[in-house]
Amino acid sequence: MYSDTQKTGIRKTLGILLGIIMVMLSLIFLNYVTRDVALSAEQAAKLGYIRFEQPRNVTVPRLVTAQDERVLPTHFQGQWDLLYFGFTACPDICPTTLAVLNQALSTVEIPPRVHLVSVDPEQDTPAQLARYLGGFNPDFLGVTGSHDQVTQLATQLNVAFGKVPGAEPGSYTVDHTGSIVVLDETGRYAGFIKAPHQPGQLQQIIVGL
Amino acid sequence: MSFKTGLVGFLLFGVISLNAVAEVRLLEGWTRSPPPGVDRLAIYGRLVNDGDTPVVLSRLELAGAGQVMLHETVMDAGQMRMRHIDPIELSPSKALVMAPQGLHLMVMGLARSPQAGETLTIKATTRLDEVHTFLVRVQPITALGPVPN
Repeated sequence: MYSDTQKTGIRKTLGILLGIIMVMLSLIFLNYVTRDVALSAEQAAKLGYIRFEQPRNVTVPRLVTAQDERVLPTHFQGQWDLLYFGFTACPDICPTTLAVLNQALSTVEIPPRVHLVSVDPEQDTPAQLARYLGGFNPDFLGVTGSHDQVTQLATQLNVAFGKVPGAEPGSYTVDHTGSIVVLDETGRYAGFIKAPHQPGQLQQIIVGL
Repeated sequence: MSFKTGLVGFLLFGVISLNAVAEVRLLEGWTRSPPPGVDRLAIYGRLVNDGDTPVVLSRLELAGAGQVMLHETVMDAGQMRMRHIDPIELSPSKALVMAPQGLHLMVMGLARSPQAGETLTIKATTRLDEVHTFLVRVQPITALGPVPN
């Protein structure tokens, strides 16, 4: 038979083994749960989200928010951010994208921030952006600046834009990239979501970021 | 020509003319209330021609607005571009489907901002000077379709 000392040792060993098994089971469970939430690159691509293997650094140029405050170099750090490059006089694609984003984020527990970056900065003053975005969602943010400053940001994010003369003399529209840019929690360019956008599609992508 | 013959002729002409007028309708016409500070909006719905022959819409009007035109948002190499479509031809066999991120009637120069719940009336004149009216329901700014979401 075992002595008391031996019995205590066996109990300790069994306790440690049980603890290790519990930790391992917890890790397996955690891995299982997170596997269901996080999208693989392939799943993301099927939904239209092109996620880079290596996020790219972004240098934030001098820009202003819709509250007319300087966009600091750390502005896009600390949370996920979605950037859409559009303009307030755009009648179809921009309000549609903002309405889709509004619906997609409505059931997300911790939603990323949404920014409309103006590609018509001469017309889209901070006050105009604030008025416009408030109509969609009070949490939506605006970014504007000079044409060169917006171009500096856009170029780093593979976004192109340019004024095009309209049908009537003196009128114009602005052609622009339709993708939604994704910045990760460290402010790096993580990927982009191709247009056209649908609420269900965006919701799946956002939950899986 | 007697008065009687003239009257019969006039009535016959009227019946023939009525038959010749194609019925053009906008089904499920809707738009969003324009965002604050914006004097334009996009109208969606299905334009159908119930007649037997093609119809060309030569003029679209909305009281209190500058211009109404058919535009199409097209994606070209990742770029969203706006294309003005003129003339607007409605085939009797095919509806012209207008939906977000595609075809839409673009209204510019609104004197006031229509609010959700209002109904707008678009006056459409064909190349043969026939006049049709399209009703458009104004939805909230965040709407994604003809029924409020």
